[in-house]
Amino acid sequence: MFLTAWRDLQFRRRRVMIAVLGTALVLSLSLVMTGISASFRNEVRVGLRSFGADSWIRPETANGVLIASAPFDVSTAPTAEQLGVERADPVLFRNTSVGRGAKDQIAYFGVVRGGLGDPAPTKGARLAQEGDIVLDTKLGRGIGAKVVIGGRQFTVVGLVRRRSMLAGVPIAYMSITDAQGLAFGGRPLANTVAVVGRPAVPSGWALDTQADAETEMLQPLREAMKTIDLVRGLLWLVAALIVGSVMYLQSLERSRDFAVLKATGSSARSIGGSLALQAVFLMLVASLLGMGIGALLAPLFPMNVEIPTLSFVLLPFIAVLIGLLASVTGLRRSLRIEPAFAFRGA
Amino acid sequence: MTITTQRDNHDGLVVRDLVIEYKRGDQPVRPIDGLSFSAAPGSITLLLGPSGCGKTSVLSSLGAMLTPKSGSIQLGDIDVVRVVAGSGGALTAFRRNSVGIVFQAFNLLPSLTAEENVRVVLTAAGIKRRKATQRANQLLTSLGLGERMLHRPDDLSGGQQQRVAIARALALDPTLLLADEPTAHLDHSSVGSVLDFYRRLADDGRIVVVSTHDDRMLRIATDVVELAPRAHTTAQPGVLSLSEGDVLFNQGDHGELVYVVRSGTFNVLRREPDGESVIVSQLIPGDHVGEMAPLFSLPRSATVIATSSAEIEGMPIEQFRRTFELRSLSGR
Repeated sequence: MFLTAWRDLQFRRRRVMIAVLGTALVLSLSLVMTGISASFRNEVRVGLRSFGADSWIRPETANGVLIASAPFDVSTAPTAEQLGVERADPVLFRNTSVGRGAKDQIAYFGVVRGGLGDPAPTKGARLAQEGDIVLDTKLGRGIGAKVVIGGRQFTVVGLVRRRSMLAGVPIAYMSITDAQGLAFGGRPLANTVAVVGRPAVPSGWALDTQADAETEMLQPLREAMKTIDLVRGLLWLVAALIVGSVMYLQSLERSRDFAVLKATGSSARSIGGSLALQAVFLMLVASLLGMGIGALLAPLFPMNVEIPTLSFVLLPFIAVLIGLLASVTGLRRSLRIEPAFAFRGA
Repeated sequence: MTITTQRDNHDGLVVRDLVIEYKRGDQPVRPIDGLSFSAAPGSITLLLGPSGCGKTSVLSSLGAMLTPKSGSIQLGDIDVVRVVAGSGGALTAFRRNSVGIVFQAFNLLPSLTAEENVRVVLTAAGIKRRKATQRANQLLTSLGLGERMLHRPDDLSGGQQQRVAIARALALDPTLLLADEPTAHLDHSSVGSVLDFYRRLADDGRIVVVSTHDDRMLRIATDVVELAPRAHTTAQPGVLSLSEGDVLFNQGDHGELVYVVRSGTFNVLRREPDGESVIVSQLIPGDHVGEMAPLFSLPRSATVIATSSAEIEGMPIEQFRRTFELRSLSGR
């Protein structure tokens, strides 16, 4: 079984190589798509979990805490003492653009200096005074650089890595007073209160869990993520079609071989197994190659592509399964071939 | 040439009342109708006849690849027809151990070397790779292919390919060796040695059944089974007048004419293997009958009897074609 499968692959190596390359490319694109989709979730998780909050308080009438929030006066918000928690700090979230021609999108968090969400930069210093800003490295600004946002000038004092929201929009952190100046003309408003501990939520207020907040932040990306999932499905379909058609072609071209093998006493199971082995081999090689191509392609994409390790691990298994399913028509055909077919003339 | 054999003596091959029938389009065709013959170990039986007379169908049945309509095939104590009908492990074991086949076009697997083509049969039978390789090497060397074992079929001559095919057929030392037109792909000078070779294979105690239309094989034959004796038809083209009950032709007859009913009616009867006859159709003026036999050199597959006073025109197949082409053209 192994011998005939392997030798036949060698015999038709040109076709096999083309099929492997085509399938590998398709699988690598599927991996990249998975990476893009995963990066959407990761950035939200990383961005929000960096606050160290257990939950988020919002006015009862608001639909959410960040994107779908209803800004409220900070002085009316429940304090840590009122909530019965260790820590509670107001947070303001907005997105805007910076640079000439508003070419760079930016999402900014206004945080209480030294409070929840005040970032610990990977380079530089923490927020120390009004006018300080901590930026994601993706914006390409160095420490000490001046950044103008909404007509206000900020000084970059610290840099953080891999902090983005809304499909790769880099995050800026500033004091909540600066953020209020930018967003609300200095009015003391906030979107939410980040809370550490289990709060006793007062009347007129509601609590969103960390998961609720993450789901809310992903809401604007739902359609994009659905589209990516659809494209991913189509890519798998293309991979299945490539392998399926190659295996069907194999079964057509090897009809006489299969008939001869049957006539000389090979069992149908061993003949089907030989074809299945080819599909497994084809998909295994294609998935390994696809992983390599995917890893090479990922950095070339303008969006974050964070291919989960699990996807790399699962890819060969799913690929083999899809390969076998796609080969069913060819397999069935090979099993149905009558051994008497071997008697037909050349 | 020496082919080592581990076979014990065995009984021969007995074919009795074999009927093979298949459909060609809607028409049932019965190339073999009541064939009986037997072959003893050490014999060479030739199935002699022109193309289309059913030689390959008989070989397929003997090799447990085709279920005959009726009749029996006994190889030693094995009821081959029952084995085919049962399928599964017994069928695979029979094909593997009891029968070896040398196909007309040799049908070697193009991706495998000569040695691998032989070895694949052995490993399929569960023989370990090392032993299988040894056996394949031994067989190929004994057939004079010691230097060509690692070559693919494309690199081998027709004669060499045939020897690889023979080695494959003999790999598991079968009782019965079937060869389909063994001289068809050989040049004139190679035929003599191939004939001697088959003779020696039989001398080793095998039953060799060869299908051929090559008269040169007659010199090595122990028995000859003529599958389609030359048709001795006296029917001449033209219009025949028949009375009720007259037979136009009988099932199993040979014939070169196609008939078109001018007047009257006819019954077309088929005799089933159990001897019973059934009416398969009735002919009225304008209908035609009997085109399969001249088209495919097959015996008549049914009997045609006039059921009233009738006139029917017999014509050669070419005239029939022209007549019907003209009719279909004028009908448009």
